[in-house]
Amino acid sequence: MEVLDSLEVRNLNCRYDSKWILRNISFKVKPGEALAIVGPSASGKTTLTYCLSGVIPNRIRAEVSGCLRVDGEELLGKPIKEIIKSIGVVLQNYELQVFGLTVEEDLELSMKEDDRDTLERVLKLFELEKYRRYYVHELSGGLKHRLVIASTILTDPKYIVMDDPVVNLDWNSRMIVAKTIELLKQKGKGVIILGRRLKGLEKVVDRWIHITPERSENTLPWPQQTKTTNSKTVTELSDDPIIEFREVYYRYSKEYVLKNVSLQIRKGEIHAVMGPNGSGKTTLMKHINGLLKPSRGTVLVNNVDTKKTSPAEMSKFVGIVFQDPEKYFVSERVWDEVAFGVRNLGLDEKNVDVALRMLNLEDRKDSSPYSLSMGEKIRLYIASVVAMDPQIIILDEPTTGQDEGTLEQMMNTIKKLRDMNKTIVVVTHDSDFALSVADRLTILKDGSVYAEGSPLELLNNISLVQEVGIEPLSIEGEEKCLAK
Amino acid sequence: MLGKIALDLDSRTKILLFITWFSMVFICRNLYSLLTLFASSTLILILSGSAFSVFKKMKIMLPLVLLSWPLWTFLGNWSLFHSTGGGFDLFFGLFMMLRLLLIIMISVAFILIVKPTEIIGTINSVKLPPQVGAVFALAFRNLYITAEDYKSIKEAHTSRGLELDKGSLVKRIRSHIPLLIPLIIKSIDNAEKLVLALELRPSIMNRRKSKPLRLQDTVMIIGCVIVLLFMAYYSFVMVS
Repeated sequence: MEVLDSLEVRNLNCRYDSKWILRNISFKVKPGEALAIVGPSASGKTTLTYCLSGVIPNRIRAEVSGCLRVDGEELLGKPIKEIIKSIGVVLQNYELQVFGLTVEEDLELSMKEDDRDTLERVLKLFELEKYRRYYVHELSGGLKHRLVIASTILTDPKYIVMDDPVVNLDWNSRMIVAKTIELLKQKGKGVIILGRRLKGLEKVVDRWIHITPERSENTLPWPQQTKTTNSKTVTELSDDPIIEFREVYYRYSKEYVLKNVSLQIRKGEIHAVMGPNGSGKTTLMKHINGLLKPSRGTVLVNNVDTKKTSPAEMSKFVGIVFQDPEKYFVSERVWDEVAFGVRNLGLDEKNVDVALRMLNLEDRKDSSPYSLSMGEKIRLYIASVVAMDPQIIILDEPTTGQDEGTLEQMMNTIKKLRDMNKTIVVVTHDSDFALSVADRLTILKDGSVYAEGSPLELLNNISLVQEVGIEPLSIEGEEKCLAK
Repeated sequence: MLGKIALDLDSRTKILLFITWFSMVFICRNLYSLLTLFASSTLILILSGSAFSVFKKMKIMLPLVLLSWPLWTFLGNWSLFHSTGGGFDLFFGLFMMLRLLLIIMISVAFILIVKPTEIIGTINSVKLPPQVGAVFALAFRNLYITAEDYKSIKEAHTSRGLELDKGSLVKRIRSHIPLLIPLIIKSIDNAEKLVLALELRPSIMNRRKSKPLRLQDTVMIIGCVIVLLFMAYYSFVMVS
């Protein structure tokens, strides 16, 4: 007998023009169950989210066929307002789902009735109590994401779809999401979680589905690591610090975000910086190239005081690879995009071809940057920084939202850059990644250096990892530790 | 104490208070009444604890205020279309400078004291369709999103060697063009996605219940109306 009480997708197909994005997708979620749908970039996860919420075909034109049944009622093709009565959605681009100006206001806007008790309960559950009067733009990305999930839950749908819900979250926030999913299950809600990697949610997910890109993507492979000297040990590195923080304090308004930070990063090393959301990682990173100047103390980079130098001048020896590279593209051609920094610094344009070759993007040099796949876009941004030939390259959360394949290739690129004697600073939440690439690790907590040393020692120290609230190593990571 | 009372007022009362304050600048028709208003405004700001932040923000506008004095003194009686004689009027110059100073002072105080969410609250409490409040809220929210995008794009570009604060004015304007391209693309993209997000959470268009006014708010509102009426009567009826 057919179970009517469920969200059921059967033989779902979707294509934009001639490109098939989804082919024969079928699954069923019952109330009180959590289903994870995992797949690499371009595997159609966001398209599937749009199909489930009615955005496709109501707002985005696409050919869609198959069945989407909620408790036996066919909803595919129905107006969005009918679908969202039973399916709540947290989009990947979550920032746009925040409508209130303050945290409390945003939550109030989602409530069907003025119920203070529910509001207080949700604030407590999501640990948002102390931020209730904060303006939304004052929150970090992780906190905003938490707020959107909380707001969606307040609309009280029977099924909830979350597209990449842990992508920007630190370990503690992921645990909150895991706790929420558990709670939703207990309340009889059905949860569908889509993502590239869903670390931290393993215990609450009941079933997993893997989807792969339907079309063979016309994507160039990442450069293979030719000769990786992974055996370069800390003792082999130069003793001269190329980056030095001397008792640095920094504050945006009243509270200090960095407090008495003293840190040395040696020439040629790969240095990882970890810490929970709001611990000061990004603030520390922005001090290295002078985007932020210390309120007190000194930051010396290559013996240059960043306080007295503009970020544009600092870019001669410090390059930053920011998150979401496509947000910063300025050119219509890949080649011109890589040449942007080179031209600003008045360097030889031959650097552009060298960087494109190194990142294996030569064949894409005439393409539009926006037409590239996510992996290629990241490589393009790295190429534009490499072409400026800085001695120091900073990577801001390079693992965020990346699938396993892209991560593996990124590790190779980082090691290749190190072989070129670049100093690499990686800001990350990903413990496995830090362990794989870094020579040294600094852990920040509440704006101060909490621990510094070998990644192997620090990440293997379970009590330290729990105290700080960073991501523990996965089983594979622990195996690597044992092997080392 | 006064500051706490001012910040604790209902958003509707706060806005009416500012409307009254602002109107008085235009109702006052001679230098001495403006001087009294300026002195009392400064005193209120000092007592409310906002004086430092207000004057700090006003600093940037001071050259403009100072420039207005000679301009109004010497050119106050001159127009492209008619001439009322010419000559200069020192008191008229001072009067107009003081009026400009007060306009700036009250505007800055309004921005610092009244939060956008209070403006939305006030719009929602009057009998306008709930969509009006929602549209204003979205406009404010979008302003923050665009400002954040602008900041991050600027940081990314200066990190790739783009010098924004050096060279001639023309060079500086040209340097900002690469900032605008991604910002425009991002804003269009955001607008499209915002519409989608709105459809997925239609509850934001619902009417919010507004709280009833408390005693201190009612007293303050009555006070504002009396002051406005008295000032208008004095300036436009008694003086003329």
